[in-house]
Amino acid sequence: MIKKIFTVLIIVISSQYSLFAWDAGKVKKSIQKAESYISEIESNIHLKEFIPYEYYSSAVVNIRNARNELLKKEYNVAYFYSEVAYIKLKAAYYFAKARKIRFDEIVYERDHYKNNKKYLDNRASDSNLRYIIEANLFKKNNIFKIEFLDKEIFTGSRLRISSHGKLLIDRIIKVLTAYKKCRVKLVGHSGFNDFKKISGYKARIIKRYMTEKGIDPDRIDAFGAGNRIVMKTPLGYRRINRIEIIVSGIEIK
Amino acid sequence: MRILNILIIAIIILCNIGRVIASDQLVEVKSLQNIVKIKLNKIKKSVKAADIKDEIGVIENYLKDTEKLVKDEEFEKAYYIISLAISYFNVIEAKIEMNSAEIEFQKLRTELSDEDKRE
Repeated sequence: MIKKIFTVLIIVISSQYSLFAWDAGKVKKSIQKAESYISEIESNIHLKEFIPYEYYSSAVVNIRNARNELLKKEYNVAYFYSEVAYIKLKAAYYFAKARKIRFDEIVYERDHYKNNKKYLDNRASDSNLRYIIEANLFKKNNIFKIEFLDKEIFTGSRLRISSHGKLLIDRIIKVLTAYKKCRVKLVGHSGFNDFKKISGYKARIIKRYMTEKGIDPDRIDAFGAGNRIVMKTPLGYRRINRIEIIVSGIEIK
Repeated sequence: MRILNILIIAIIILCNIGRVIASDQLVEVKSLQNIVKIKLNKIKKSVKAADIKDEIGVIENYLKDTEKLVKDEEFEKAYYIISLAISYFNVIEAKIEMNSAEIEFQKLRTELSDEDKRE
């Protein structure tokens, strides 16, 4: 009697397991699909540098886990891991493409303004225009602007202006002295919550330097925008420590 | 006879444990299904569905498969499939990002060419 009950139990349990199982062949195919997607992404030279590391690496780990589970004959788990890996790789591919497009966009915009400046240089009779070109100011509608990362301008934790930073600001000062009617707006940005008002402090440091160099302080507006305004980068819009310099009121003859 | 009684009681307990586990799994799968459905509806409303038609189709297939597996009481498989559906939202997010980047680039191109024409 007991033997009979045991055999019935064993049959029931084993039948349950057979219902749940995904077979080894399907799992192997799924793993191969994910692995071939990896090699496809890796062989794409244009996209390789833009692939988001977190997605890619976790997909690789998932494939390894799938292989381990396959060895243990845990086909359900193995199949799940391999499919997740494939999905992550797909997402990584699209994200990489988005980053590439954003990068191309930035390069396109930069090159456009560069070419525009050359065009202006050849045509305009304004001799002061060379200061704008030297300062690398980009023309956007009626204003000229440029953005510097903090590391380009400042040095040390106390935010002193570095010698390279002075060189860059001096070029802007030349523009301001050449065009007497123009005004400049210095906007400090931060990549974090600006509780200590550091973004405004950075802008004021540059204002002080400019006034020391003989620019009328009434022509300079300096303020901090905190981390409210984002910057366009190849990785999308990001909050980055930087200084934005906007010159308005330049009249090119 | 005693042993037989004990065995029967043990089988009854085991069956009940099985039921409890199954009902837990069912609740979990159902809640995940609801999450997927809500997310999918949100995406359908907010984004141009034509751009991510294929991706939406994949998730809908996952949902169908899950329902079939739940009917067959294969909760483990159903759980895995619905989890795959949730992680597939990453692909949709990435594709939306790619499409918006493309649109912005196109916008910039037309803006700059208009600017050139004006000058």
